[in-house]
Amino acid sequence: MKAPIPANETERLKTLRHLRILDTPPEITYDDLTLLASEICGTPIAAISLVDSDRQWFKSKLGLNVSQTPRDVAFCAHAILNGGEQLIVEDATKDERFFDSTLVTGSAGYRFYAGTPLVMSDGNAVGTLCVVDRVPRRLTDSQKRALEVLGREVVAQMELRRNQLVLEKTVLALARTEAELRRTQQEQLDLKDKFISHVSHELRSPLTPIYQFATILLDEIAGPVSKQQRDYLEIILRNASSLQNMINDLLEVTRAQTGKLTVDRRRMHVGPIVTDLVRSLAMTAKANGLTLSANVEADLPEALGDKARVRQVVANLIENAMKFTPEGGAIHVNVRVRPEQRNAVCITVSDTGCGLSANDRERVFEQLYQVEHAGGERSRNGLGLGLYISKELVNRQGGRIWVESEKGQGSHFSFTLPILDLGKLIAPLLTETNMAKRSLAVISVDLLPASGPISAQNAKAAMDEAYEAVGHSIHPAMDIALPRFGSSDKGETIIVIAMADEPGAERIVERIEERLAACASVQSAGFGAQVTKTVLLLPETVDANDEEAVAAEWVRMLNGHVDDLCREGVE
Amino acid sequence: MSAKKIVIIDDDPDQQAGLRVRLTASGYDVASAGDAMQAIAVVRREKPDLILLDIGLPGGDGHKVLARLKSLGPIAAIPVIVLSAMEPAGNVERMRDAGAVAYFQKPADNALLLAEIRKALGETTAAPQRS
Repeated sequence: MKAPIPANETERLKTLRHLRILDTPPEITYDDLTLLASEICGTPIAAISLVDSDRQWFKSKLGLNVSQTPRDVAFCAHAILNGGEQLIVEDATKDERFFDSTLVTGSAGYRFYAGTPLVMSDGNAVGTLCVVDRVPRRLTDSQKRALEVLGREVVAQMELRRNQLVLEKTVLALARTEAELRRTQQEQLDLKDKFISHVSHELRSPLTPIYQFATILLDEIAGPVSKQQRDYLEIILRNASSLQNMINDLLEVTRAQTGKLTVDRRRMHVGPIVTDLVRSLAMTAKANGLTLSANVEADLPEALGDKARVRQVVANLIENAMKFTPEGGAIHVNVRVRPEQRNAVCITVSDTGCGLSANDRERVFEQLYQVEHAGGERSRNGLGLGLYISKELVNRQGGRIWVESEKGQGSHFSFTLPILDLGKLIAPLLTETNMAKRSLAVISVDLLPASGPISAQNAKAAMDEAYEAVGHSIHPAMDIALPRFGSSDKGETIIVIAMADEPGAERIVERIEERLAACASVQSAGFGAQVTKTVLLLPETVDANDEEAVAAEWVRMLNGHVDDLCREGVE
Repeated sequence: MSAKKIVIIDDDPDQQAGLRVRLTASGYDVASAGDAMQAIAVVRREKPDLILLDIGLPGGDGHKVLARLKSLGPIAAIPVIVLSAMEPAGNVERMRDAGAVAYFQKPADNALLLAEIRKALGETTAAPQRS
């Protein structure tokens, strides 16, 4: 007899379909439960049968060689109608519902059936866990209970599956929302960038004739100017120029936020930039009753940086010092390699000004932060962006900026630029074994956002960890990771010089890739790493035992190569 | 020797006037045009020794004017210095590629601008003026 269709059939099928379990491959968790059911009940056949609209399909089966049968003949179609109770048919030939079923009369020859319905949390029975035999049999109470318990276990597995599906869907939706958010943020930043560019252009236009005519008057092109008139004109000019600086700062900050603050790193000497700046600002300092001096350590190595940007940072620090140092004070710029950090040139601007409180020291590099008005302060014009921009510029050149100061004791602003003295860097690697290899590899690790933009904070943490991971991937006696050239939230390039041949370099590349893949912060920030290697061979003409010759040749070969990498590096 | 002639192409009358006064005081003859259409006509008529060109112009921007100037046989050889309030990023290369000899962002420093003008005119021996 064909089983009637349950009253809740539509809903029941919906529940079943939501599980997305029909026609999926077998799974061990379900097969284990089927096996247990058959063992406990002592039947040769057991199955997890799911009752679909016109068939029963077996998620798991034991002793059966079909994966589905028509619903019309299925015992399970009856079992799901049993109000959640087990359906037990001890001898099918004596049951009016089943005696004429092809499963009983045919070659299958079923006699015994016990099925416990699989009732999901929403009350819908989607199928059964059933045991079947070809001879009539009886289940003991404990076997019935076990079958029931196992049925609940199957349901629990299916509930788990459903929750996982919901979770996956939620995660997917979340990822989509995040991507959307990132896109919106980037759009907003781009819009802001466009807006600021436009505004700054419009503001510069009226500034141009103000500057032009003030200088025309000052240069007495339009007739003689009295001392008083000259003073007033200079006030106009000074303010026009401070307005111009503010417009520039505004643009720089927007560029910093949109990642468009560009630095073009080359090998450079810091000394001349500083002495030149000090010379050109000496007049202004003198006019303010300040002395300005500089001291550049002899034999400074070349640093890696953008000349114009280094000049901009030093100028900003000196101008700040002049603002906050009372008449009679002194400003001194010191350029040196500090013994505690031999791989960087350090530039320090010291003043005898009002100094900074602990709170100021902490916040002085923040955007729009302005130090509280103090007695010795000369003027406060500016937007409070100068140090923020300086910090961004220094970071992008691979350096660090900080301040040491006490209230009333003056301030010392310092920043570093990485040194790229390849000769010194590779000197410790020039051992007999290494030189005999006649081979050296330059490995560059490019960390770039894999999908959308990355917040500055996440980017920094990720890149610090990545640099450390690269450091752990190499052999200190044979390889070195170059000092960082600079990073931004757009990425960073880390360069490793390895005393290795082609296969050796390949192994290092693999180690770096493995370590980076295991870096939680790199992965979670959304950085992708691209590791590439170039192997350089020592020319035949160079004697591998001649340390000096090898060093010179390696440095010569590396020079061009590393410069290229620096330039290709992150903008 | 007669004074060298410079044509200023700029739509802002105040900026045009400022430059005119400054350049006249430095001993140059000055003519000017306020839009893209006028620019070509004025250059053709005046046959200047140098052109100072703004980018943001009504009736076709400075990039187009520059391309047009450089396409007209007799005037293509006149040196062009671009003066603009726009960001140098991107514009400098573009103008240089199109044949400009220099790019200044407004407000331009007078001493630097005059030095560049003298260089473009081949007058490098003249002493720079105070800005």
